[in-house]
Amino acid sequence: MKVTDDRGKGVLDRILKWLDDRIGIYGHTIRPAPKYAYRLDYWLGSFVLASFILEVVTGALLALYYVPADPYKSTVYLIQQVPFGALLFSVHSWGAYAMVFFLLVHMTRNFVVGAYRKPREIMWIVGAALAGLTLTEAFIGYSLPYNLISWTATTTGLNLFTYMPFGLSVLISQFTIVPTLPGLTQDVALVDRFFVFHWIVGGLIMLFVALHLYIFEKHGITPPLTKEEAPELLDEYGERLERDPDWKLQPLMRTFGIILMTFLMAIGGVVLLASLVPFDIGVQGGQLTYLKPEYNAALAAQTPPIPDWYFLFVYFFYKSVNPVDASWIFLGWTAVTVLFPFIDQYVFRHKAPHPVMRPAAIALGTGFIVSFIVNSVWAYETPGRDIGPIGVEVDAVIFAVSFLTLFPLLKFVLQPRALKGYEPIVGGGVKVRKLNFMPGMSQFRIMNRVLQLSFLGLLSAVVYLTLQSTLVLIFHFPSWQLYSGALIGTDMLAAGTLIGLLVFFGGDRR
Amino acid sequence: MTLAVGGAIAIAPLVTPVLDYAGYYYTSLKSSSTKYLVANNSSGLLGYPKYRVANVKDIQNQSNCPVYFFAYPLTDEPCFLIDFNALNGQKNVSFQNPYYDKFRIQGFQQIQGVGPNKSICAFSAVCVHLGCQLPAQVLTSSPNNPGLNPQTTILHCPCHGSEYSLIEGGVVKAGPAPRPLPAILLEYDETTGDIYAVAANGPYFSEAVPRTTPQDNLLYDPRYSYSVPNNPSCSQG
Repeated sequence: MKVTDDRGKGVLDRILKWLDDRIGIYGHTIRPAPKYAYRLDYWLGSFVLASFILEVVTGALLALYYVPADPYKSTVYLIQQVPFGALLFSVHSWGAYAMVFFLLVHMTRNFVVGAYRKPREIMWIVGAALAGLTLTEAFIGYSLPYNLISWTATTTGLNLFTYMPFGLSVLISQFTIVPTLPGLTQDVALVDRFFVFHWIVGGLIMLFVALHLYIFEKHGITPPLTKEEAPELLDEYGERLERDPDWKLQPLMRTFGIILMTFLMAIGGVVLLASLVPFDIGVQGGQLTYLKPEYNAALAAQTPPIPDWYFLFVYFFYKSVNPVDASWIFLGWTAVTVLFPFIDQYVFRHKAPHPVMRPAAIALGTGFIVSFIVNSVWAYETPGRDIGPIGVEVDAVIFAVSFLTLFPLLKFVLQPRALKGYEPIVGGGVKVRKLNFMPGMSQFRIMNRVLQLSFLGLLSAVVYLTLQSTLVLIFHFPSWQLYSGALIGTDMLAAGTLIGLLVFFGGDRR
Repeated sequence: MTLAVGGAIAIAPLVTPVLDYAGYYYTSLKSSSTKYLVANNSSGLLGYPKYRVANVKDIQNQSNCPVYFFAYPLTDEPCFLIDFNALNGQKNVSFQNPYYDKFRIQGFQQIQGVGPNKSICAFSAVCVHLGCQLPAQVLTSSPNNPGLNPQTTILHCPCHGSEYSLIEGGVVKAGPAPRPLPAILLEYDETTGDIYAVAANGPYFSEAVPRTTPQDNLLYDPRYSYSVPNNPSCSQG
C-alpha cells in the first residue's frame, strides 16, 4: 500500500519510516490521516483516551495509600497527610467524570455522523462495551472512599441486579457475595473485592481500548459525510487521496501533534478544574478536610443515596416502575445501544451516512438523548421520592414525539431538499471545495501577525508557567498542592493551545 | 434425554431464586448460619424460631417513641415493633394479612395487634424494593418525607420513595416496591408482658438474591450491611 510515500518530512516521520522499513507499522498500526480530518470532532476519542491514561496514572498513585481494610480512614489520611494526596484524589475523581463525559460526547458524535455503519459495526460494539466497562469502573470506584452516600448508593445499586433476568443476578452475586472469613466483617471484605475489581475492570478497559484502536487503524478515519451510498473506507478512494487537496494525507507529525494537543487539553482541563473545585475536599486556613462523613448504617437509613450523575437515568427507572420492569427497560436500552449498527442496517435500512439520509436513526437517537437528560434532571430533583409510572410515560412520549416530528421532517422535507442539486461523487473523482472567503494580501498579513503574536504569547506563558510549577513542586507545602495543580493545569492548557496553533495553522498551507 | 438435562441446567438459575422466595432453605438456616438467634429451634414455625424480642414495658417506657427495634431471625436483620396506641392512639389493631395463603407460612388470615391495648405490631426494617434500611425511627410531619408519618402510618423509604401503609399491614401505597412490607407475627404473654416473634408472614428483601447452596443462605442480601439501631432511637424528620 502506498499511503506513506514522500511524507517523511518531520523527524518523527523519519523515525517511523525507519521503523516501518524494519517491522512494518504503516497501514495497520499507525496510518496518516487526510487533511479534512484535522477538525476537533474527528479526535474526540483521543480526549477519552487521555482521561483514561490520566485515571490509570493517578489511580496507581492513589492505590499506594489506599487500604481496603480501612477504606474511609485511609482516604482521609491520603487527603490530609500525603503530599499531593488531595490533588491526586481530586484529579482522579474529576478525571472519572471527564472520561464518562468525553465518552458520551464521542459516542453521540459518532452516532450523529453514522460512523457505526458497515464495516464499523464491531468497532461500535467494542466501543459500547468500553462504555459499559467505563460505567462499571466508575460505579465501583464510587464505592471505594466508603463515605455515607457512596457506599449506600453502591450497595443499593448492586441490589438492583437481583431483579435481572437471564441469570444475571446469579452472575453478579457470584462476583460480589464474599465468603465470611473469621475476624473480618462482610462489609470491609466487599470493599476489598471492589478494589480488586477496580483494577480488573481497568485492565479490561485497556484491553478493549487496544482492540478499538486496532480496528480504528485498520479502517482509518471515516470519509466525510455523503448523501448517497459510497465506500466507507479511505483505502477505496485511492485516486482521490492523491488528487483532492482536501484529502491529502498529512505527515504523521501532524497526527501526533493533534493527539498531543488533545491530551494536553483534556488532562490540563481536568487538573485545572480539580484544583479550582476540589472534589469533596474543603480548604480552611491551609487545612484540607474530606467533606463526606463515613458510612454508618443508622445514618444511611436517613440519607437518600444518590448515584453519580451518569447513573441518574437508571435510578430514574427504578423510581418510576417496579424493579422487574425497570430491569427490562435498562437491559432494553443497553441492547438497542449495543446492536444499533444492525438495527440501522436491517431494520431501518439506511443507505448513506448523512443525518438527513438516516431519519429513523436520528429520531431514535434524539429520543435517547432527550430522555437521558430529562430522566437525569428529574431523578436528581427528587432524591428519595418516588416518581411513579408517569416517568416512563413521559419517556415514551419523548420517543413518540421525536419520531413523529423528526422522521417526517427529515424524510419528506430535508432529504429531498438536500438531494436536489446534490452532485454525487463519482468513485475516486475530484471535487474541489470552493473557498467562500479568500483573504486579500493585507488581511492575510494581519492574520499572520495575529497568529505569530498569539504563538509567542502562548510560548512565553508556557515557559513561565512551567518554571513556576516546577518551583512550586520543588518547594512543596501541603496547602500549596491545589495552587500548583492550578498552575500545571493552566500550563498544559496553554501548551495544548500552542500545539493546536501549530497543527491547525502551521506547516504549508497549499 | 440430553434435551431434558440441558433444559434443566439452562433453567436452573431461574428456578433457584423462586425456591428461595418460597422459603425453601429456611429450615436449613439454623444449622448453616451462625447468625441464627436460636440454635435448637424445635417449636418454630417452618424454621423460624420463637424468640423473645422485648417486654411490653421496654416499648412503653420509651417516652414519645412508638418504635422499638430488634433483630429477627438473624442477628443482622433489623425489625421493629410499632405501638399504634403511642403512635396515633389506635387500639385493637387488626389488619388483613397481605401474604395470606402465599409462601410456606399458612394461616394468619388476620393479623392482630398484641399487648395490653392490642396495638403492637412488628415489621421488617428493610425495604423489599432494593434492600435499603427503613428509617422507622424518624417521625415525619408529611408522608412525602423519608421516615414514618404518625397520622397516616406511612413508612417512606429514603432510596426510591416506596411508601408502606403500616396500619393496613404494610401494603404499598406509592413507589416502586413490588410487594408489601413483611410483618413479623407476634405472640404475647399476658402474665409477664413478654413479646415473642414467631414468624414473618413473607420473605424479607430476598426475592432473587441468588443462593446456590443452603450454606449461602442468609435471608438478606449479605452484601448489604444492616445494623439494628439502639433503642430508643426516635427523632423528628
